[in-house]
Amino acid sequence: MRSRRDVGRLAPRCLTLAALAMSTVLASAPAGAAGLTKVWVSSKGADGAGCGPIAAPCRTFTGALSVVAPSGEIDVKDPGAYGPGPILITQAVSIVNDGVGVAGVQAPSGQNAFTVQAGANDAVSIIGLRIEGGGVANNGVEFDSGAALTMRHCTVRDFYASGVWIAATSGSVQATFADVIASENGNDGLAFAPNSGSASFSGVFDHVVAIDNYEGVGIYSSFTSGTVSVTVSNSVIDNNGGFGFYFGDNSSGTNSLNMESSTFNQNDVGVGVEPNALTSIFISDASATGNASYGLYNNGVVHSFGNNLLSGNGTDVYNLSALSRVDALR
Amino acid sequence: MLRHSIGVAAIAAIIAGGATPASAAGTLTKAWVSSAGADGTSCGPIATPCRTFTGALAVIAAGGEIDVKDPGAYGPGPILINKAVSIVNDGVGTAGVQAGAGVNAFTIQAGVNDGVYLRGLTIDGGGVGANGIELDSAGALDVIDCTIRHFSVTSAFTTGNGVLIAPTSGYMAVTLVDVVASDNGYSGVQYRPPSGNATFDATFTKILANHNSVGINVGAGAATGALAVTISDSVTSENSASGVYFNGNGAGSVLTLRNLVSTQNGVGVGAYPGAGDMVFFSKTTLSANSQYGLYNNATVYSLGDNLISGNHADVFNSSGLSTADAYK
Repeated sequence: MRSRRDVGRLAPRCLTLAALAMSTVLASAPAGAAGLTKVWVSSKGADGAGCGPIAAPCRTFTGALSVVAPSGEIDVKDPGAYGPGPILITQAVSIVNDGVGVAGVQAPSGQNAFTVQAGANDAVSIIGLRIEGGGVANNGVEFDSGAALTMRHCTVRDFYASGVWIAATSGSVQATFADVIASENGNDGLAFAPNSGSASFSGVFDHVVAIDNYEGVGIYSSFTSGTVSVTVSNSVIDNNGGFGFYFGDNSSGTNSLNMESSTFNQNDVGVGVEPNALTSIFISDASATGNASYGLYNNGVVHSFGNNLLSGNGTDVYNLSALSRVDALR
Repeated sequence: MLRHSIGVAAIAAIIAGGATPASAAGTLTKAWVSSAGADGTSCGPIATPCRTFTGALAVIAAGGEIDVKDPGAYGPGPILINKAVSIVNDGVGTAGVQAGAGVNAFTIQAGVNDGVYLRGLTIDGGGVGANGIELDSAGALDVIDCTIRHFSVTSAFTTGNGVLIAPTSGYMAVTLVDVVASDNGYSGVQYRPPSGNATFDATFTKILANHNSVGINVGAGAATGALAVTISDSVTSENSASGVYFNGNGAGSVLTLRNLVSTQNGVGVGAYPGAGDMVFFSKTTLSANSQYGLYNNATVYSLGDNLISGNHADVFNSSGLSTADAYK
């Protein structure tokens, strides 16, 4: 199982390094040069030093990022295409479309739509966007550094690599995904997968739909020395070609994983876990059915509350004896 | 279970081939439509949007996205989709497609690696259209936040469906999220390969299938391929025949019903699995159905937490309602 996963990831990662270098060169955002706490974008706007007020909106997110203050907010005034990528975010910022229509970002072949390289205390929020890779763009959001990433009510689809790739190599990253649809991505719909370093990761995945990716949601901490804590709730992680959900932590951290009220159906493997001995994993009110190879591929110890539907798979549970029943419902 | 090894390869191919301009007439990666737009060879930019989805499809490249700028009627059907494309309305108001007598609103005949994505559309048959979405071929179809209603049945199975999925070969994955399929003469949502060996994975979640003949109709019996379908967090109600109907062919199909409410139909769930097919029920309510809550023609698996009560008859063939496959 590992070999298939690695094959799936290698090529896009190589591309990512090149894309990252290009995005750094090409992006025009002069980090920290800005002053407005609120900046608007519109399809009728124009980028420039004076853009940002609602009567004189900017045209693109990149243009808005060059005039917004750290911790400021960029708001979408009307439907439009506000890319293209690569859009470089180097500061705390919130980008918000609250239901005016499609606020889209596309990216050309090999590029990311968003690359986040923010400071260690910077929180980045992306709300209401449609991020589309056309099958050729690299990642929807590549998060290299920053304190927090919140994505809500977003669609991230059809990227050559991943919808969201959290690749931070240091610090502590808190990520929240709520009401996010990640589909048709070549690697992961959503992933924490640093290649090296010491980053710690706290992830909440609530009301996520991850479908038709190679892998729905992947948490890889094999190459980081940090600790990882992840909760998946109320989510639909179905119809992915490899793992629906994968959690592997060969690091030495005291990690945790909670899976609650979610489906992991019709993948090759519904849920795969390869934890270290210090990791606690709980699964409750989950469904893994119709998976070709395994419902639950358990290479460690998984604590079940006994309320999970694990049936109708090629093999329902690998290592069933380590599916530990805990009668801790109170 | 062999089905899914096909599926893995197919999904990888969808992704790799997502932008292949197999049948692309257009070159734009983004095209807008507006009720104030005009179709033509140069339409598409937001300042000069197209008028109809058909007009936009003519200028969009394979793998591109058509976005709705403002409320409008963007049909009429028949709209033919023959490549990977997204059509998206993200809440600007009604983005409608109507279909005249006997024709489909959308017909999808795309390549085996093509992903098609529809969001935020109101698809209305006016009591005369044939099907809201007829999917004959594609790699994947996602339908999100759409209403599909009032299509008319003139011949059983093939008309009168909100969504009709009718492949004859290959592998296909279909996802429906937040979809209302109502007032259709035959099925709200129907999978029915007319023949052949197509294989199929589907997730239907947050579906309201109301006042059709059959709410969600999964019928593999006319073909030989296997399927795996999950229906979750959904309501099927006031369907004259069945809320959910499943007809397996014994190819190892899996149907999972989770947190489904099927009420005030003729039959809440009609299950006709073949030997080797599996049907699971969990957290499901079947009540106030005028004939049966569960009409079970073989063996189905209850997780023991379903409410099947208050129907004319609650369970047909209760000895085949197995609780042997308990929760883990």
